[in-house]
Amino acid sequence: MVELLAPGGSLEMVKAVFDAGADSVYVGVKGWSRRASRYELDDEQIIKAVKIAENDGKSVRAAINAMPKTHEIKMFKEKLDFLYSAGVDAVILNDVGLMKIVKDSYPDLKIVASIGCNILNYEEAKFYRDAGARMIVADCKLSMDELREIKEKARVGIEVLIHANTDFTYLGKCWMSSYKALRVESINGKSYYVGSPNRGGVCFRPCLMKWSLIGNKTYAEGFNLPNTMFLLLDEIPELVNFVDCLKIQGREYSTGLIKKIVEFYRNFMDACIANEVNLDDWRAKLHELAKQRDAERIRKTIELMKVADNEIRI
Amino acid sequence: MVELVTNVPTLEVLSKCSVEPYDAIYLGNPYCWDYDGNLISNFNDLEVAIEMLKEMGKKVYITTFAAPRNADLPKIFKLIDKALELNVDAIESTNYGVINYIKKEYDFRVHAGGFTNIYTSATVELLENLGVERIMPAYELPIEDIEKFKEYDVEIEVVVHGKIPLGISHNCFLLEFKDDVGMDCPHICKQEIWYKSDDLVLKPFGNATLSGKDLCMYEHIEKLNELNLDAYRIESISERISYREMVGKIYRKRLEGGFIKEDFEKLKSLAKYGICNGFYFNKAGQIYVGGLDG
Repeated sequence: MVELLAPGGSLEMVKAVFDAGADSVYVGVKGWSRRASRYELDDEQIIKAVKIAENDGKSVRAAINAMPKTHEIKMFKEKLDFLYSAGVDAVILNDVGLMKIVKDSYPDLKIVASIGCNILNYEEAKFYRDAGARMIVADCKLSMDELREIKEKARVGIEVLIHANTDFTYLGKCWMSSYKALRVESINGKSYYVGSPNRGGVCFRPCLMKWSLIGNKTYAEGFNLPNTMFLLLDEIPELVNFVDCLKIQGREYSTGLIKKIVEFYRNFMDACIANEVNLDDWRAKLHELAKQRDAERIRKTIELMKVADNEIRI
Repeated sequence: MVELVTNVPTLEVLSKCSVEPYDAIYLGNPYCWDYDGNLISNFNDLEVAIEMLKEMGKKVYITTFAAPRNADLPKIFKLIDKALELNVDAIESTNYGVINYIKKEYDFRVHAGGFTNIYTSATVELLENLGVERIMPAYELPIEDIEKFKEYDVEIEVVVHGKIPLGISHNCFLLEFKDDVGMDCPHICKQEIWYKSDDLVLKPFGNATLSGKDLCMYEHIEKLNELNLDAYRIESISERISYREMVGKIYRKRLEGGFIKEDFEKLKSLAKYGICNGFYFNKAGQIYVGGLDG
């Protein structure tokens, strides 16, 4: 049975997504995931999240996928010890070297290779599998045929994003944001790079600025570099037959909106399994959700761009 | 002595410029299979290019496509076979799947390039155990982090000059503007074309996006020398032909002699949108930190 994984940007969101029908939730470890710290959970909150999940017979994944500095690997191991003892079901990692550490320390702890690993082919999937990953998150740009081939040749669990954003670049292989602006801070002694998602901070979303194409003259102006909403629907009836997990991204959105999105996909997946799907009806419902979601994203993007502009002035 | 390396995308470029200042050359453009004359797609040209470089006494490295999907793998495997047949000195890849394949199938010398995302000493140790001979640390790393990688038995190569890659995509977004520019693939990316927004300038090049500014460590080369690294790269893949030769000569002099103000001024004049230090000093990549020249 394919798993529905939902975001837990707060304890309130953790409870809400389980109520809405998620099978599991992923939470960011404070200072250690690819999102702003206000959408991450501290140790006490992670313990509470695990208890909430256990009460519902569900599970928690911990995203610890920011790249640490070498002297922080000891802190990573301490955090790993905590997560294991807290009872998380899996850790989401970006760095293949850290996967080896987890595999050696806690062989029974499930490792998920993060979207930031940007795994694009079956040879790479095999490499991550051998490094310890039991599941890989597929890039949104991979086709159904590519996913099938990876599954067949690498024999590793596949997680597919059904609500996310597709970026101008491959996710995890982009440092346009930190090229534009960067500030180095610290959270509990762990470095925190505001402007670098790979290193645990926010992305300033430079894609969404107004760009011009210039050379001998201005060829075009006022365009964005592609960064668009990614919502799957029509593909899900086929995906549920061979992938292992469908993931809804969105720790940074409001709990109310995320709850609605999780309910929508839970009901749709159940309808698919029961073979009771009229896609036109579901498309119309998703269209309404997408409008609400876009409105929230635009507000967030404007906030982030202001932060980036302030960084440059500093 | 540290190895000075650069990249050459085509036989035409190799034929028209001097690579004399360099010890080794990466052949091929890793960002687009369809780039006109790309040596990773044209084996006849590749054979001639390798012969030319060997006659000059240069080491020859072959690069591979930087973001391979399933359908790209057979083409890369053929390129690897050809590279081995032509007796090159190393193959560069930025894909863990391809790196692993080369080591497991051929145990041949591999350089893990900048898009491999090598951020931690844990990953350097893993690659050392895999037998990878050389790595480029992630472009985002500051000097203090790169220094820690010296503890492992792996050569380290860093960029000292040129436009650094900032991202790679599944397609060439520049082609969206072929009607505006009046030019199509494979000619459009050979033009002087830039994305610009306020203070930020980027250079589109195939599936990659490069920094608009030239990373320049000319003033700060001693800071890198203290790390005792193995190779310095001049990124010239997207540049006009003369750039490679001019910048190479300047850095060769810098390595063998000292700081020459006129050379530094020349480097600045070659950088249309200015110079920067990338991420070496824990600052935003487009910032330049003054050094010897104040």
